[in-house]
Amino acid sequence: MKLGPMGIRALILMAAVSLAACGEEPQSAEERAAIIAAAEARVPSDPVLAEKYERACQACHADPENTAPLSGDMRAWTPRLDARGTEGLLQSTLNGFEGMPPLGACPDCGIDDFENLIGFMAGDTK
Amino acid sequence: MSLTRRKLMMQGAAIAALATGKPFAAFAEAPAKAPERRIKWQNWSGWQSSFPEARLAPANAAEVAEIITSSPTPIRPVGTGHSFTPLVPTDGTIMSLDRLTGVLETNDETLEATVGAGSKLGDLGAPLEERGQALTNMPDINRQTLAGSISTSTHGTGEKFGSLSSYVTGLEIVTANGDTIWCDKDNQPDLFQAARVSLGSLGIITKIRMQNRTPHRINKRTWVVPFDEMMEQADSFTAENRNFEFYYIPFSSMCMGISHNETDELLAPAVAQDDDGVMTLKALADYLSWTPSLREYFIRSALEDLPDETFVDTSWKVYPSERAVRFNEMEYHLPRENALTALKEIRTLVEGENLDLFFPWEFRYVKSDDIWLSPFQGRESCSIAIHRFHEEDYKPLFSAIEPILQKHGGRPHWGKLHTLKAPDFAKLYPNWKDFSAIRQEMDPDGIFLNAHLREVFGVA
Repeated sequence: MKLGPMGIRALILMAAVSLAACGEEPQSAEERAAIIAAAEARVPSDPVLAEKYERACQACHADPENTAPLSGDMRAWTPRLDARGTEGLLQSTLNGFEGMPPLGACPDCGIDDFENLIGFMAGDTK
Repeated sequence: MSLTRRKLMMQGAAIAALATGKPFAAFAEAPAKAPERRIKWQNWSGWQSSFPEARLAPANAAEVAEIITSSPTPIRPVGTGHSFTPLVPTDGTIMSLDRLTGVLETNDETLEATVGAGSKLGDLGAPLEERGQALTNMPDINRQTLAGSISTSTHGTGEKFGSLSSYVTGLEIVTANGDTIWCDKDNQPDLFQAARVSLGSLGIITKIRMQNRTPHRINKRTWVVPFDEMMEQADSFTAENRNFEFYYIPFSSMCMGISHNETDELLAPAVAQDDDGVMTLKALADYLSWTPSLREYFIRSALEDLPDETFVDTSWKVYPSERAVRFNEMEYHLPRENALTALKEIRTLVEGENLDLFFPWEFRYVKSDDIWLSPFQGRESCSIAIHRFHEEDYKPLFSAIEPILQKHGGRPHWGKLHTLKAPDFAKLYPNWKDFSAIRQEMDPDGIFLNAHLREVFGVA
């Protein structure tokens, strides 16, 4: 296939993304499979929060084909928390971020719900 | 890295009470807690918003009725917020349909299925297939709820297929006084006629019965065609294929055709691909808008030698494509005989005046129907959709193009941006008065009307 100027530019963009990821430790296929399995199985223990998680969050945050960080995958969540903090992640949820719609697909969630859901996906097991 | 059609077109066209026994999910219902501050509701693109007093998610029709009769007004239902028009914003109550989901009942003889109105299209494919059914046709985004889709006459493509509303054979609606009514062609036929496309203005739709078909496998093909050739062959392509649509990439002179056909071929699913195509088009526009000819050369040279792409999968996996880049959209439905001419005029305008635009334009075919507020009522139609990156003001571009779409008899998609008001709609829709009479009867106090709908229906 011919790689035109647009393809060249896309290659440059990809290279930039690759360089940005160079600092990360490599991840084995087994480790990745375990993270995916854990994400698919995790549900908050609080039944009210669990209902909202299953309704609004799980479809993307437990789907490895989605670009959203997987639930419980600290390798994905830690740099986000370090860079933006809990408040930054809350604002991303309220206003939408990349593929995530505003209010994170939970139109009836309150601030507490969002904070608890973010906390759960970022590692908190409650 | 491969420069694929998906990057340029699919993505580019994008151009997504409880167990505790509480009556319904509410963010401010715990009396012991201090009231939470109001949270802004926004649509998917982020351009429509409001600070509703209540945001609620009922689990059944009884809870819907309780909310309707006890919550701040206006009360507006929300699916997934994919309408670009301000159908949802309200200072009163936003009612999510998120908990009214799932396949509730199927009929093996008639191939009908009754589903929760808040079911997302993408969540219906697997459970329907398990029951020997599939939606007859689908749009290219599957994140919307079924209620939101039929309420705005959302559609796919194909000259033999109407909008999703045209496959509705019955529905349950909770009215302004809290009554729950089932309507179909035999029960309350006028209400059924009106409710199939009703913008959430007659009540809250809680269940929808759809006329489906058997599960089927689809071969999807995409290919590149120069613009002038596409203008000559588009009608032939749509006659030869089950579904056909095309995109035009502005400032390229190139189109991308997409066909869907039923097949018995072995499964050959699409390979997951990255989605930077539309942003690459944006970068080209940013850097080269001062020289349209060079911009056209770059895009065309990247496209013209691309081989066809084909994959095969079950229908509900084939039709949708991802929309990772947010945008605002204007779409008009034109009489089929006028649509290609309108598209040529839009191209002349945009490229002749070098208007700021990089998203591909989408051109689809839709069968006529007889629904009062359907934009496809009484005429075979083609849809022209123009997209604008969500961070950019859409108004200058859309206001330049909209007169062309109106001049050719276009009716706007109810969920996509337009500037029409009640007097315009009264001229465009032969049964406008019939619908208005039903609306007035169903909601005399206007509790389901926000500011936008008051303009649409001409209600003070």
